[in-house]
Amino acid sequence: MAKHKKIMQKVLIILSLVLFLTACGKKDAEKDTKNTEQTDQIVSEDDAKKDDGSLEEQAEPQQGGSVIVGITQELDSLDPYLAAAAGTKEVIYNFFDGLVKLMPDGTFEPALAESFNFSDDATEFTFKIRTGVKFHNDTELTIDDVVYSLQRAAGMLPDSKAALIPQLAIIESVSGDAEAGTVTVKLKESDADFITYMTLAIIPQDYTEQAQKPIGTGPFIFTEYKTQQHLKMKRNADYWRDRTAYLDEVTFMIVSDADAAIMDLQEGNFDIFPYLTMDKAELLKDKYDFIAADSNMVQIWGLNNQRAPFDDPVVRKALNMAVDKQMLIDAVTFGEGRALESGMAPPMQDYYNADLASQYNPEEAKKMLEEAGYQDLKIEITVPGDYVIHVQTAEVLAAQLEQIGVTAEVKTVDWGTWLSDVYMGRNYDSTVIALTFDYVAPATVLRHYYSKSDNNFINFVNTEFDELYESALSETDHAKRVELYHQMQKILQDDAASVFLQNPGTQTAVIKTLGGYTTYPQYVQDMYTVYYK
Amino acid sequence: MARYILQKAGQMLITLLLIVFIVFIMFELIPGNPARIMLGMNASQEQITALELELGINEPLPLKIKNYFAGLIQGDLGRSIRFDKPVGELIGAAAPTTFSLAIYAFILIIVLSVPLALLAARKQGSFFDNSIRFVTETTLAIPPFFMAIILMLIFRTTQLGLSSGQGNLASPGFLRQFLMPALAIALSRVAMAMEFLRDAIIEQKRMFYTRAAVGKGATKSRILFFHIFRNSLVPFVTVLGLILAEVFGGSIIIEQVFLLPGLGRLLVTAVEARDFPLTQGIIILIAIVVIVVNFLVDLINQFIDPRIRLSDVKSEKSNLWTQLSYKLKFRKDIKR
Repeated sequence: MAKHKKIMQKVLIILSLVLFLTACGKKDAEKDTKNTEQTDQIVSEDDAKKDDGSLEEQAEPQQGGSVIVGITQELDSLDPYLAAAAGTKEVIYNFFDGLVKLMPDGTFEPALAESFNFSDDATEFTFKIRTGVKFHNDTELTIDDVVYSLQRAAGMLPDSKAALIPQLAIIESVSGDAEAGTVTVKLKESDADFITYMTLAIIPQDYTEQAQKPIGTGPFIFTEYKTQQHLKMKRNADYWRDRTAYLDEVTFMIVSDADAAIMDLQEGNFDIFPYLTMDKAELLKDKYDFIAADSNMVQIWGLNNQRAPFDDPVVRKALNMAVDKQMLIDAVTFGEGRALESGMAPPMQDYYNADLASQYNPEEAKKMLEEAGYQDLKIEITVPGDYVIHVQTAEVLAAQLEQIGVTAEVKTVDWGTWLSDVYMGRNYDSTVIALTFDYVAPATVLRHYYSKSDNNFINFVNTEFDELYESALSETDHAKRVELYHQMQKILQDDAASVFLQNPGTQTAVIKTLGGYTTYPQYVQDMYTVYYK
Repeated sequence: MARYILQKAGQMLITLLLIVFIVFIMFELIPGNPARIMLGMNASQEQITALELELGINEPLPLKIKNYFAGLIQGDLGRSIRFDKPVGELIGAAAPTTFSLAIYAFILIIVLSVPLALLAARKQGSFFDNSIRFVTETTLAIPPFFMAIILMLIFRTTQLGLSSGQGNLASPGFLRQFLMPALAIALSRVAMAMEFLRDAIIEQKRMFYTRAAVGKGATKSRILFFHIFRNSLVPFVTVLGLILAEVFGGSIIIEQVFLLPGLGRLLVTAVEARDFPLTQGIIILIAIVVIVVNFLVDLINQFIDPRIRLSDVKSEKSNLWTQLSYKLKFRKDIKR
C-alpha cells in the first residue's frame, strides 16, 4: 500500500512538472500574427531611413552613455585579417576603417581614401589617402600603413603562405606614392567587384598584437577582452570624421545561445541583441523595438548532382516543384524570410534576378517522378545539428516530400563533421545549408556552382554557366555584368542545380531608449550610429 | 609513507599518459578539419592548406605526439586554434569559475547530507526517515541539467533576485550568484551521500561496541557523534571522493545551462572546433583533479581509521571493497 502511495506521489510530481513546462511553452507561441504585423511596420520605417541615405536620424541624439550588446558566439582572433567567424567580424568592425565604407543602401563612400578611381578594364585602382588620421596608438596613418595592410591581407609579405583574404589573391602589386599621397593597386586580371573588398580594415604597419589588442582608426578603441565573458570598447575621442561616436562605452557580452539570451533580454540586461527569432518577440515587445533586415544568407537544399538519383535533372526538377517555400518560411523563420528561386538573394541589389517564377506544383512533380520510373524514392538529408534552422528546414522538407511519395531521412551531424564529410568530402545525398556572402560581390555566392571551384560541393556541372561566370568576372560594364548574373541565375533554376529555399531575415532587438541602429547589406554591428534618445 | 606516495605518483603519471594518448587517438578518429572549421565555408583551398601547415595537422601521429610531449615537458600546453591564445592562459581564466562552483556544490552536499543522514538514521523506518529518503531519492532521479532548468524557472518566476553570473569564490556576492548552479549540481548527489552515511550509521549502531557504550551509560548523542559517526566516515569519505570527481563533471554541464565562463563551456567550444591543444589541456587538468582527489581520499581515510594501512595499497583497496560489498549484503539483510 505504502509503495503504491509512493508511486502515485511520483507520478503526480512528474505530471505537474510537465504541465508547468508546457504552459510556459504555449505562452511563447501565442499571438504570432501580431508579431509579424509589428515588424512589417518597423521594416517600412527602416526602408524610409535607408532612402535618405544619411547615417543621422530625426530624433536628437544624446552624447554619452554605455550600451551592452548580447552576442551568441565565442570570438576567434581579433586580428581583422585572421578573424574568420562572422561573430567576430561584426564586433571588431568598430575598431577599423577601410579605404571605402559600405553604406546601408549598398553603395560605397570614400573613407580613409578621400577619393578613388580605376582604369576602364578594372585592373588598376588608385586611392588618394586622407591625411591627419590617427590610429588608436596615436601614430598617424601613412601611405606605408595602407600599402602594408593591403600586402599583408593579400599574402604578399615575405613570410606569408596564402592570401589572408582570399578575394585579394588577385592583387599583382601595391605601390605607394608618399608625395602624391596615393596608393595604387594593380590586379592580375580585371575584377569589377574589387572596390567592394576595399572595406578591408587598414592597420598600422608592423604592429604585432592585432590578435590580442586590435588597433585601427575606427570610432571605438579596444579596451578589454575576456574569453567566454565580454569584449569592451570605448569612444575614440580623436576620430577623424566630423563627429565622434555618441556612446562612451560598448560591451559585447557573450552568451552561449539565443535561447539563453532571451532570459537576459526579459530582465533588460542587454540593450541590443541581434539574433532574435520572431517567436520570442512577443515576450519582449514592452522593452524592445525590433529592427528587421535581410541576412547575407542563401539557404539551399543542396543536391549532390553526381549521386543518383540527383544526377537526373528530372528528379531535381521534381523536387524543386515539390517544395512549398512560403510554408517552410512560415514554419521555420516565422515568416521572416524571402523565398528564392535561384542562388542569389535580394541584398545583392540589382544583381538579384527577381523575375524567376515559383515552380511549386506537387501534383506535376509526382507525375514526373512516376513517368521517369522513380518509385518509392528514398533519400537522405544530412544537416549540421548546430544550426536549428537547417534541422527544422530538413524536417519540414521531409514532411513535404512525403506528399509526392518520396521518403526523406534527416541525419544530423556536428558542424566539424559536416564541413569535412559534406562540404569538403562531398560524400552525401543532399543537405540543407546557408551559403553566406561576406561582401556584396555576386561572384562570392555564385562561385559555389562554378564547376572548377573548390567550393562547388553540390558537384554542379554546366558549361554554359561556367562560361557566363568567367566572362562576368572580367566584365567591367555594370549593366552587362548584371545581365550575365541574371542569366546565370536563370540557368541555376532551369537546370535545377539544387532547391533554393530562402533568404532568411534577421531581427535585432533594440531597447526603446536607443536610436540610430543601422543595418547594412554586410553583416556588422555598427555602434557609431547608435545613441540614446 | 614515502613508498606509498611514490607508488601513487607513478600511477598518476601512467593514468595521465593514457589519457593524453586517448585524446590523441580520439582526435585522429573523429571527422573534422580544424583549419576548415576555423576559416569557414568561404575560405580558399590555399588558405586551408596554409593553416594546416601552420598547425601541423597533417603530420604523422608519432611526430605530433613527440612534439606535444616536448612542449608539455617545458610546461607549454600549446596555442588554442579556436581562440588564437595560449592554452595555459585560457585555462587559467576559466578554471577559477569551475573550481569555485565545484567546491561550492561540494560544500552544499556535505552541509545538507550530514544532518539529514543523522536525522534519518536516528530512527530507522520512521516517518521522518522515509520522507527524507523519498525527497532525496526524487532529486536523485532528476538529472542535474534538468534540475538547473527547474531551479531557473522557480527562482526567476518568484523574483528572489537570484541570478547567475560571472565570478569566483573571491568575488563579492559569489554565494548568492552561484547558489542556483551549485544547488543544481548538489541536489542529486545529496541523496547519494546521505544514503551512504545513513546506512553506515545504522550498520555501526548494530555493532557490539555500540552496545558496550550504551552499557557503559554514555549519552545517546555522545555515542552517535563520538563512536558511531566517526566509524561511519570511512565509506562516507570514499563516496564523497567519487562524488567530488563527479561534481567536476557535473559542473561542466551546468556551466552550459547557466552560461558560466568555466572549463566546461571552454571544453565544448574546443571539441566543436576540433581544437586539439585546448581540449588536451582541459582534459589533463580534469584528470589531475580526479587523481588528486582520490589520493586525498586515501589519506583522509587513513587518518580517520588507522586500521587502513597505506603502505599496502592493494590490501587497502580490497579492504574497502570488502567493506562496500559487505555493506551491500548487509543492506539486503536490513530490507529483509
